[in-house]
Amino acid sequence: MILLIDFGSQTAHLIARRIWELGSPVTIVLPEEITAAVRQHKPHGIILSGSPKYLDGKKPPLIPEKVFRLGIPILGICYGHQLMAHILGGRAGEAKVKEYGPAMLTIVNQSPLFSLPASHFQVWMSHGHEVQREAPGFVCIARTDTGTLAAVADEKQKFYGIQFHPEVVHTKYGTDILRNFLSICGIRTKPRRMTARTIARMVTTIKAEIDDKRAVCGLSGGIDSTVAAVLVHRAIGT
Amino acid sequence: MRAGETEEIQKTFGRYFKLNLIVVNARQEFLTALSGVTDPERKRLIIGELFIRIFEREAKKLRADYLVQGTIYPDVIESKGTKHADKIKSHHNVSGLPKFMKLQLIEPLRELYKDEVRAIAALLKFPKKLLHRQPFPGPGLAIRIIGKITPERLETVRAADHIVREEIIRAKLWDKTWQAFAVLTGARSTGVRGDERSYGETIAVRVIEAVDAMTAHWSRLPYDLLDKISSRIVNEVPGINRVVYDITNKPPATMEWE
Repeated sequence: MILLIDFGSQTAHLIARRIWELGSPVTIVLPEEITAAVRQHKPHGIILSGSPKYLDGKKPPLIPEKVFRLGIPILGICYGHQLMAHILGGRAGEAKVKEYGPAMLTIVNQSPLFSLPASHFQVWMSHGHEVQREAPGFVCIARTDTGTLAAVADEKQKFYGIQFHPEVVHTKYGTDILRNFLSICGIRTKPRRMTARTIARMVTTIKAEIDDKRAVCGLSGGIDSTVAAVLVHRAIGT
Repeated sequence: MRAGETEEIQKTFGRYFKLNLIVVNARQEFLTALSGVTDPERKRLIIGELFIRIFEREAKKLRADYLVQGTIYPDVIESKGTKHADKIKSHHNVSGLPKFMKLQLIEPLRELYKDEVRAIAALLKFPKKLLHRQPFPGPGLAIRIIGKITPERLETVRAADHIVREEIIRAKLWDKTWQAFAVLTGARSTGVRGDERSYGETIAVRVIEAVDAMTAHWSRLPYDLLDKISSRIVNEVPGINRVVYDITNKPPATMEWE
C-alpha cells in the first residue's frame, strides 16, 4: 500500500484517487502522524504531497529525518520534492522564475520513474519555490525550459523528487509516472473504474444512514446534485 | 439561474426522473440579503446561510431531517479540506454552511470528482443533455457580478451569458467546453458609439477546458466566434461597451472570478 502525506496541497486527494485507480490501496495521513502510520500500515511506498507553505516561510510542515532511513521508496511532489532536498542536505528556496501552468519537461538522465514513450512532453506546474541544489546522492533526471531541477533521483535509495504534478490530467504521462513509481515500490497495478457495484455500495450506505427518516435534496439542476438526488431516491424512495 | 434554465430543469425532471420536485422562487430574498455587499467571501457566506434557511423552511413542511447535497471533493478541498491546506474560496455548501443547522447533511459524492460523478450518471443512464450540462456555481450568478448585486446588473450578466451560450452552441463547441460564461467585471471604460462618447461596463468572457476541475486551460476558440460574441454583447446588452476574453489557466486563476 501507499502512504500519502498531506501537507495541505489542493491535489493531495487527487493523488490518492490516481493511486486508487491504479489498483493500489492508499491512505492519506498528516505529516504529524507519519511515524505512527508507517508502523501501522507498513507501506510499500510513501508519497509526499505539495503544500501552500514553503520551507523558508512560517512554520513549514515537516517530517522526521528517520523516515528516510526506513528503506521505503519515497516520491516527493512539489513541496514534497523541496522538503526532501531540504531534509537530506540539498537546498530549496524561492524561485527566480515562478511557473504556473503548462511547462515543457525534458528528461536528461534515464530513470525507471521516467520509463515513458517520450522524453520531452508537457507537465503542469504550480510553484513559486524550487529545489536549488539537489541533496547528496541525487542526480537531476529532468529539467524544464527555465532550467529548474524539475526532477531528481537517488536510484540506490529509490527516492524521487518531482516539481510538477503527475496527478493532474494536463501532465502528459502523469498516470504512467505514478504507475512507474508503484512498480518501483513493488506494487502490481491494475486499472480500477466506477462500476454498477460502486453505485450499489453507495446506495446501501445512504440507506443505512437515513434509515426510515425523510430527506430534502438541494437541487441546482446540475449533474452533482441530480446524481446525489437519484442515489438517495434509490436508497429511500419518494 | 441562467436564462430559461428553471423551465428546462423542470422539463428534464418531469420527463426522466420520478422525483418530487418543488421549485422555490427566492430571488427577492437573495437580492435583499446581498444588497450592498461587494466582498466575494461575504457574498458566498450570505448565500450559503440563506440557502440553508430556505431548505429548513421547506424541510419543516415536509417533516424531513436530512438535507442531501451534491458536494464533490473539489468543493471540500477549496474550502480548506485538510489541516495544512489554505482556504481558496468558501463553497456555499461546505464552509458557507451556518454553524447551527437543524438539518443533518447527506453528501454521497463528497469523496468524488466531477468526471467520476459523470461516470456514475452515465451508468445511471442519464439523458445526454444532463450528462453534458456545464457546472454552474452554487452561489449562482451573484459571483459572476463583481461588486454590488442589483436587479439591473443581474439582468445584464444574464443577457451577456445567454449570448455566450447561444453562440457557442451554434458553433457546435458547447460539448467540448467545460464551462463558458460571462462575468460583469465592474471595470468601466470609454467607448465611441455613433460619434458619441460612451462610458460603460466591461464583460469578460470565460471559456475553459478541464476534466476533473482541479486544473483548466482557457479554450482556444476561433477568432470569428469570439468576434461574433463580442459584437452581439456590445450591441444587444445595454450598458456594455467593451468585451474582453479571459486567457488565464487554473492555476493560478480559479474558474470563477469570485
